[in-house]
Amino acid sequence: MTPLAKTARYSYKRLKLLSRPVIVLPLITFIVFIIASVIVYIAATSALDNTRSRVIDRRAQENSLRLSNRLSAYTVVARGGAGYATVVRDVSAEGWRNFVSAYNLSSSFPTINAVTYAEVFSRDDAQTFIDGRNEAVGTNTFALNPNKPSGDPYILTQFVQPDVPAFSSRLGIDEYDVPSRKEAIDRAIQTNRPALTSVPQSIKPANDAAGPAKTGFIIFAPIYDTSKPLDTPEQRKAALLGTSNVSFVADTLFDSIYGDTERQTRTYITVHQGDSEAAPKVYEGGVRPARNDNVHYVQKVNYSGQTFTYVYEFSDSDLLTSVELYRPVAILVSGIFLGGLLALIMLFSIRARLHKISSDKEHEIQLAKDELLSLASHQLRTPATGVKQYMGMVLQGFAGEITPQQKEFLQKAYESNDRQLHIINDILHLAKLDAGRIVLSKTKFDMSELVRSVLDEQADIVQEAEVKLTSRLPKKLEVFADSHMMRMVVENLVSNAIKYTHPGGKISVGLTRTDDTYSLAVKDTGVGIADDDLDKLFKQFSRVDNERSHLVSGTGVGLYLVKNLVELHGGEVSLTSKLGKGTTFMVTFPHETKDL
Amino acid sequence: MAQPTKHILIIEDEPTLASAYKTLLEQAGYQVSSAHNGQDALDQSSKFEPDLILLDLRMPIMNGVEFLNNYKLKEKHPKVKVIVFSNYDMQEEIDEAYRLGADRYVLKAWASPKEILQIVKNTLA
Repeated sequence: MTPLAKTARYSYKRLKLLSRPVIVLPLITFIVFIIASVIVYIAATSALDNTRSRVIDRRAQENSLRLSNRLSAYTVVARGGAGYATVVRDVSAEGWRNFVSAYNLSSSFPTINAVTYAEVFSRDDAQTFIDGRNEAVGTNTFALNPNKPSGDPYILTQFVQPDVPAFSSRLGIDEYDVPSRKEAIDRAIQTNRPALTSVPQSIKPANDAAGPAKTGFIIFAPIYDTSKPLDTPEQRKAALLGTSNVSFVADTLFDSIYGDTERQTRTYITVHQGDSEAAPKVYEGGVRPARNDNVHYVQKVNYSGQTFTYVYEFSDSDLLTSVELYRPVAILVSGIFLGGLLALIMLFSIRARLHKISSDKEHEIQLAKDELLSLASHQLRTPATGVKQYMGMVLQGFAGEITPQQKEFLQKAYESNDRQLHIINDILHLAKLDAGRIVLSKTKFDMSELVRSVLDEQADIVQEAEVKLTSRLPKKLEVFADSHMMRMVVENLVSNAIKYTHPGGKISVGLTRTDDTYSLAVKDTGVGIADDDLDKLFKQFSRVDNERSHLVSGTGVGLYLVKNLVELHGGEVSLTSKLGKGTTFMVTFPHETKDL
Repeated sequence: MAQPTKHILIIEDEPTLASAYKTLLEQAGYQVSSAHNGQDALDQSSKFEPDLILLDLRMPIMNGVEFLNNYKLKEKHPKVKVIVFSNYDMQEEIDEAYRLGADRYVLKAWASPKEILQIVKNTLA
């Protein structure tokens, strides 16, 4: 198999491997990236949900803790009152005031609305008390409940602190007569612990005498006669002397606990006293978050047997930092973006690789071609040279006289062979030129001398062609160039001139120099070149048809070579011609000095 | 005859060409010896010193450049002229031949018999 065929077969195999569309691999990569990004996105979103839940849980925990802390504090005050009353036995208004003031309510317990002392009266004493109240106020508002179940004590409110006008109408009210308060008091007796009312109470705010009553709570602490047994609820009920209670307004309480939080975090809190959202609402407040920012959460808080239901509207952007919130989307987007980028990079590098392979292949094929040509040409040259020598010797008289007819025939054969040699030479040279292998090897030499020797050698041909050759050359013209190539240029121009000039014509060769350049002019009175043919002239393989071209050997590559060699030296070729009159070729080169 | 006959050594592996050049040069009045390759030439050159060597570059066993190296043209035979008679070989080889003392380079396929004679005459002058 020839080298050329081998190369072609090998490259075809390589290309077949990559004959799938280039887009496949990058596309797969992109899709994989998208899938991975989606998976990570889902994971991140779920992680986000976890974080959110944790934050919510923490907040809810804090809130329930704050409430129970506050309620505990109130309980302490209620107990304190009970304790005081137990010790003192005969509580006076003055005494109650002193006791409560010790707590420094306004600074230490600003959300306590009132601390109330109520005493158990016998029916008759109760009546007396009531009458006394009516007299004091000047109305008949106070009256005992005629339908009071027998056995139920009368627990009448005696003293309230702070001692404000809002509460003046409270004095004398039978705590035990209000069902929810009765229930709380009974529960306190039952559990032997202060009890919180289980139903929202109507509480008159201490600082707003004229205003409406507000939703609130009361914590009752029973006062017992400690000289009696208190082990069972019945015993305790029998020993009941009164109650000490702490009342507070829901709004005030919850505002003081959550107000800051709500403002800062855009949370809306609704509190129901009971175990569901259907239970009575005792409080709502805060800042509602935006609709698309809303996280709804329900929490149940227990306090000493009571359940409060909190309904939260959290602002999501407050629960989570924006980094956390947008992280999943950011991951998704950047995953897709990266995937796309990577796919693009892959696409381009695959294409670049393919391009390289393809151009490598071309290069290999070109190399193989060149080598083949080179090999063939070298082999062909030798026998052709042999023919040239022997035929030349016969023609040039080295084998004795020959008849004119013999000369004519041999001449044709000689020229035919020469043409073959030219073709071979030009092909070889072309292969070298085109593959970029021509490297000038410059030396210092005498251009004049070179031209002279070329003309010398062409002397016989000139004589046979019956043209007159003259030359004007300086004595010495030192140049720095590639002498082999220069010789070829000169040889080519001169032999062209000879070929295309009729017998009797003139050829003149001139070599001139200026400060920066030197020029060779070859002028002939030959067939000339038509204007239309001028641009064809220097092209590879082009030959101009004229009356002498059928006599001339050569492939038409000569001038192409000349042009290339001249240009490699940094020079220029120019010509002027008139069809039928003659042609002047001029090559000009810049002087080059060898760097010493 | 004013001068003694010049002795030319042709070093050429292709027999057709070698005999063609030999015939030509002998007809022109030179004394001609020929060698098939560099080694052969070295062996022969121990017997005489030629005035001119026509040197082919591409030869088996020992090529033209190797021959020049071994012959030590510049050191031992400064008076011997060398014309490289070749067919566009590698630039490096030609440069090397020049460096080793060759005087001239002629493209075998280019030069007609008359041109060859002229060149030989010029070189020997």
